[in-house]
Amino acid sequence: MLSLPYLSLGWKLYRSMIVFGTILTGALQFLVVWIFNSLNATPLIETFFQQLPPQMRLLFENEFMPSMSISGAVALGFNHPIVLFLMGLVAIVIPARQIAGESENGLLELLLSLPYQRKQLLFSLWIFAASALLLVVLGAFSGSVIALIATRNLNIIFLGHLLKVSLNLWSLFLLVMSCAVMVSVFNREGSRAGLTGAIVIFTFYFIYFLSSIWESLEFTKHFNIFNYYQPQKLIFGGINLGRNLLVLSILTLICLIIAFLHFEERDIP
Amino acid sequence: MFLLTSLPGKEFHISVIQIKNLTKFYGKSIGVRNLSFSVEQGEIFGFLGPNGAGKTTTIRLLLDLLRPSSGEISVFGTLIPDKSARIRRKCGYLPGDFTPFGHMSVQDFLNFIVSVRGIQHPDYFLLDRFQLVKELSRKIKHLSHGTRQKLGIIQAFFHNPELVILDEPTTGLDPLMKMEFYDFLFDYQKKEKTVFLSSHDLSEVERICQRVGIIREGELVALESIENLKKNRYRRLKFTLREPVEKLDVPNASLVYRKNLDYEYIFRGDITQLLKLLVNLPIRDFYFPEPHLEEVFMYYYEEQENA
Repeated sequence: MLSLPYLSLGWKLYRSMIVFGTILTGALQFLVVWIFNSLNATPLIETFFQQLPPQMRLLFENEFMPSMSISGAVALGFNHPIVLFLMGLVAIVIPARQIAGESENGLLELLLSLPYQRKQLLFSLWIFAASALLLVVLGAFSGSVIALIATRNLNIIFLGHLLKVSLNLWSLFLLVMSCAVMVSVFNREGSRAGLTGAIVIFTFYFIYFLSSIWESLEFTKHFNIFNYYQPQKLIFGGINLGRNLLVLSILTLICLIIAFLHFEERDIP
Repeated sequence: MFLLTSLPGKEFHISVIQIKNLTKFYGKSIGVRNLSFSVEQGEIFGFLGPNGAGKTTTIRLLLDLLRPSSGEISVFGTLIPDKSARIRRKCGYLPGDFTPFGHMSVQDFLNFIVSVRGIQHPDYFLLDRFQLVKELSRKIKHLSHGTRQKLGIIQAFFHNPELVILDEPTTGLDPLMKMEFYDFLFDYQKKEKTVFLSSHDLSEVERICQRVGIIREGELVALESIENLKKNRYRRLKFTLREPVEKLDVPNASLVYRKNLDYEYIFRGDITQLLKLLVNLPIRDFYFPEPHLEEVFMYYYEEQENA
């Protein structure tokens, strides 16, 4: 079912992006923890928080940095918009280019004239993109671990929290990637598929952001994928990882079923 | 299991491709309509038609890239889409617009094909025959159109397939390489392999194919042996006189163009009488240009109308 030559082809095509994403998330994670530990930034941040309007302060406390501690810094690193953007980039670009983009430039026709089953091709692509996302998550995980070792803050409980957050981050972007796969099999242009995927994800993120500062939109959180990834709550307690994984996995599965069924029936190109 | 059919000239033929009442719609517009024909083992079958006639659609249907609206296709006796991946293992394919991975070198691309197809003994001789050995380390995006086309031909034949489907294979090849390609196809045919080739070049099809299917606006206009095609088709004759003649009556031909001493006729049938006439005219120059496909179709339209 899995095509190793296809995985190797994907690596040749996207290795720069994946390696760049892995190093950048790792470095960012390291820097956030290192800077927080090196500088006595707590008074500075607290002063900054006090200057914010109450709703913004609530947002920062809930979503980014609930505690002026090293744990809070780690949570901030894992929920930083740059990390989410990089993960989103990997999750959307790979399926959009490999399905809709290759349909557009004729490569999908060439690939499917080889002895590939359509489901085999799609499955191999999904495994490749999932592995790429895992690498980026491992970059963030490694950056945090190295920083915590360097600052002598690592302990077994913290390591457990980090693993949970990493797993949650990975499963969130598996869903984003599966959604991008679904959008791509319905498209014949890579750029359009990528843009559609990005708009969908950004809309979710934006609504989630609004619902955090606007009470009347709070009910939408239950229907928002970003509600099922909250590193600060995973680290400080208050949320069940199993619930997050269950919801994200079910949505991932739905996207994949739709994608596989349509890809099996669609015309190439 | 292969299908056995009876055709004139031979007792039994093994049908490698069988198409029955094949129709494909793209929304409301028609791709192909009610196609039925078969291709036998060991023949080079030409699929002739102008651009947009439905040649590529038919090929994509054969390869299970498109899903038919109705009708049946079987390749090697197996209905498409059943086991289509297994069927494609025995097929080679050159797309009409061959655009491989530009960032790859020729060597890397061929290695990819070898690994996907699980080829035990790749035919490296092809690299030599199509003069691609020197290009192995070059990136595909830096190759000329013709060289890229040669790579497309090589990848289609690299695993020595039983059936090769070629969509306008000589596009971009220089005349010498075209000749080499034709020779190669004849050698290939001697191994009892089958070639399905689409083209809009009548002379190419006449030169290399045994049978031809003619398609226009999605419908199969004719299914002919090349002998019949040659016998029935219209030809064009162009000549220039040295001096004007009083009366010019060319038998069985229609004047389609005249300017000063230049004449162009279209005719069909026996050429002998025409040649006799030309001998007696003050001819400066004459030649038989390649007919347009529409002129080839004219005969078949007349036939259909008569029927």
